Amino acid sequence: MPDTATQPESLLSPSFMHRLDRLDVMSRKVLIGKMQGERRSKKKGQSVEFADYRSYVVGDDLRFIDWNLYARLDKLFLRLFMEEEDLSVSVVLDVTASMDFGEPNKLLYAKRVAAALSYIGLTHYNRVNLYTFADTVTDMAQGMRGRRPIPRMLGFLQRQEPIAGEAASGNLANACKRLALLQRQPGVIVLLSDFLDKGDLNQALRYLAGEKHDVYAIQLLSPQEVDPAKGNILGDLRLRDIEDGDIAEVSVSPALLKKYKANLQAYCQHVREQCLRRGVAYMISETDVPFDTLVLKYLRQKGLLG
Amino acid sequence: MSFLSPGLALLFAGITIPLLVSLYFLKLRRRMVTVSSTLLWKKAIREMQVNSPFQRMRRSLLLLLQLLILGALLFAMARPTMETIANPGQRVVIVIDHSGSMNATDVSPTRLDEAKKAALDLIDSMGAGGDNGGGASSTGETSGGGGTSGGAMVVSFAQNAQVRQTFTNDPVLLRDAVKQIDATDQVSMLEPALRLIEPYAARSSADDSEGLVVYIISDGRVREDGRGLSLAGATLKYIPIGGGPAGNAGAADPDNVGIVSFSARRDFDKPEIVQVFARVANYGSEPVKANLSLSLDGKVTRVQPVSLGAAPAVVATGPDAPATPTSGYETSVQFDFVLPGTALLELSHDHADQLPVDDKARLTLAPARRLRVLLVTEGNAFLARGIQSAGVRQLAMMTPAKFEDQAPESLSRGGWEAAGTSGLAGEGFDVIVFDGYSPTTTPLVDSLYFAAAPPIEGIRRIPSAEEDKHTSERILYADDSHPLLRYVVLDDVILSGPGRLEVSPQATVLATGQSGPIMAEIVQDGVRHVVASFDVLQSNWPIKISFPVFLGNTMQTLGLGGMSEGAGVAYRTGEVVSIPADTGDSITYTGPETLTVRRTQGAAVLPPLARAGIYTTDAKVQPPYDRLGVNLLDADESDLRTAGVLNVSTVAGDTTAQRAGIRREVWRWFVWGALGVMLLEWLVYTRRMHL
Repeated sequence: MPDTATQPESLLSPSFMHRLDRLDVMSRKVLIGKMQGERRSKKKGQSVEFADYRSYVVGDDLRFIDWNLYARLDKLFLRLFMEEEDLSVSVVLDVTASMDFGEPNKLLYAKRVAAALSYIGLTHYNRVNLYTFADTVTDMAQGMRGRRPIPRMLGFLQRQEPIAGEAASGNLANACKRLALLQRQPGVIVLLSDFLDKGDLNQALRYLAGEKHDVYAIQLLSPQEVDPAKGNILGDLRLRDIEDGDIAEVSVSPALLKKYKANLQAYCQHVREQCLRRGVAYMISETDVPFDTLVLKYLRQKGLLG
Repeated sequence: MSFLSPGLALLFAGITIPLLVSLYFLKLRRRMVTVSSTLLWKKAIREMQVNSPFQRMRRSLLLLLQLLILGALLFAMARPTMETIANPGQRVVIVIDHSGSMNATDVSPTRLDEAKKAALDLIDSMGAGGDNGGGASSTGETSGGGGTSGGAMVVSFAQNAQVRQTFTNDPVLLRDAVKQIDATDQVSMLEPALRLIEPYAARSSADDSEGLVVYIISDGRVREDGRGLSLAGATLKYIPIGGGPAGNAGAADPDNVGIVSFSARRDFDKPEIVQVFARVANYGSEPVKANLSLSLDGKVTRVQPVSLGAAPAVVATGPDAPATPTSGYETSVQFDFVLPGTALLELSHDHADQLPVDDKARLTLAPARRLRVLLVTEGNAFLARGIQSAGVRQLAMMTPAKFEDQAPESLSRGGWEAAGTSGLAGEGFDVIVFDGYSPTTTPLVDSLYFAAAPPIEGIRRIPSAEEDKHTSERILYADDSHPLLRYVVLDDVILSGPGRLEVSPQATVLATGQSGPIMAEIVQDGVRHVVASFDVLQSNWPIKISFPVFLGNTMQTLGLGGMSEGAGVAYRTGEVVSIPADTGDSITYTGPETLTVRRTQGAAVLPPLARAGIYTTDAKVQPPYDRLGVNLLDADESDLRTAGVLNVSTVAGDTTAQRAGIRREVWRWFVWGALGVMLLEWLVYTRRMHL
């Protein structure tokens, strides 16, 4: 299998970037931002958009008193305006060894999706954070905003390689726990992983879920994982787990293949249920789905992009 | 089953089976493939094992098949043997029935082929027994080395039995002998075959070391003479061939309609009226409707539908059978028509059945004719009455003086008239009887002489001496197998001064007195002369019952060539046919088979006829002998239902003798089995490897 994960080709083509300019990262929740931005905030602030009135209390800024209303009603009311803030967009990339698998390669595919999402976030003055994880968060690029850090973002993604060695075995729960500590600001978190994790997925999602974050989980699977026959997995085989080196001796028969596919489907369903339970938006994609179709069509349908 | 070298096989089994199993479990080469996660695979395997109790077995199907292959090969290595048909030193006689009923097609292609196949199987099983002895020679008699049987003999039987191959261990000779057995249309007579085997059986029973096993391969429809069949000193085994309740599994239910009797006779007073009688029987289990067609010289003249019921479970045959049909399974038909001349009659039915040979019967109708006899005597009332009582239509009497006035040609009838009834009076005679008078010229007609002799070189009468004229003599010997003396008892006949005959080797002596031959037959230029040296009036013979019997025999034999007057000429298969022939060295008959026989003494004798049908000849013979109708006409043969039991009595031998049995090696079966399983294993393997 060619090592396509680290191929030094451009993650985003200029024409594709141009098409992405029209999109923006959407959040299903109205979240509190840090800086003034293009997005409506929970806070009432100083924008031009009127929001509400409230009674004056001592200490309020006298500039916001509606004097016309005072003249009519002889009571002090304060005019409140909508606050527009920036959105924190965190793209979390799984770089465990299992991602370096399949044709097209899952990691490369994930990197491209991450690049596209980051690009969209940056062009709309959102706060973009990139994280990679294996057994824990392994690398990060935080606080990028505006078009200027685009090369930094692309450079960060391009230098990501699958983790080898002991850390190759992923630990999603541990990584999410660490991520929750790192990403204190509310925002959109996009989790790009194959979710082939032997740990407890429910526990992992628990750290991220909640009112604070709007979490999207995108499960990426290679065609060879969906149908092993395409990967020449036939006959008497010793299957080695690419992450932990675990060996499974199998005699692949049609019945076993059938059972495998049923299991895969059941597992994906399990991941989906866990996500839904935690209010996490879930979607699955095979890596043979054209990348632009995923970004321009499916992610828009899912509401992540708009 | 036992083994010749079990130790070796066990040794190899001890080595190879654990090796194979360990190879399977420990050394199975699995291709290493890296996958993103074994999580789902392990789960799938676990579930498969849980959900399918036979999963482990299915997984080890290849091992199972390989163990099977190895097991079969190890079995072969142990040299398994099976007991076969004969004991060591025991002799085998294979008796094959090739009678008419064995031509039935209820087993494909015919019963005879099936019987031959069974015989070849027997020979094969014996032939394989010769292997382990290592000393069986390929040709001829063997010395009967250790482990081989005492050889086998092949005997075929129909009406007669024939040894096809004497005892040998050479399977090639035995197989050839079996293959050369041809089909016949004769009846089954097991008795001659048993008589052929009897000497061997007697010898083997006298010698304790040998036993004789007789395999009778037949449909069991064999004829008995009422005394029962017996073969002492042998073990008899009956291999039934053919369908029916007791027959082979898978054989068709016998279906046969047969003509079991067919005859014709002319009316006593009006010889031109012919009556044809036939009996048709159905031996199938279903009622049958058929049409009987009678044809004259190939042209169908009468058709009569018949309806026959299903055959009863047991059809009584033989001497105890009732004369008239007891159920509707058989019926008699009669056809009457006018035919003065000769013709070939053929009766056939149109029911398609399994035995074609009895679907047709044919006979050659002799022309209408009357027997005319001339008695040349000075006066002999005994003789005249005797001749008249012998069924003679016309008897003319002449004195010797008058006889001498006749031209010899005028006394001759000149053969058979085509017109039949013409020449009733005054146109010669069939037989001339000379009583005490020797003619001066040899008559051209068959003649009988008492106390006289024809002027022929080969025979001369010597009267008894004067002093012996009144001595009484008895007849010492009479050839009762001769047609003239059949049923003629001469023991109580006393002759007074009979004289004697001087005969040449060409003459046949019929009876011998105390002083020499007293009765002889000589044939010259196709004319038969029967000469008795004594005078019937000088004996007590005329008052004995044998006298008219003798005259009857003589008139029929001399005048009508053995045929009863006006009847048709037809023969049955297996019959020896004597053809009166005056000219030519040999006669060739063509028909179902070609027969060429030499003419001797005015007659050509055909060998026993094997096949039914019409035999014709271009040689110059009297009608009706130019066309011979040969028929099966046997109810036993037409009844195709295989007999379940063959009743042949044997004198029980020493039953305590240990039966060692011939060891026939069967390792080849296991090798073939291993190859077959190997093929299966390959199929399973490839099926698993390719989806």
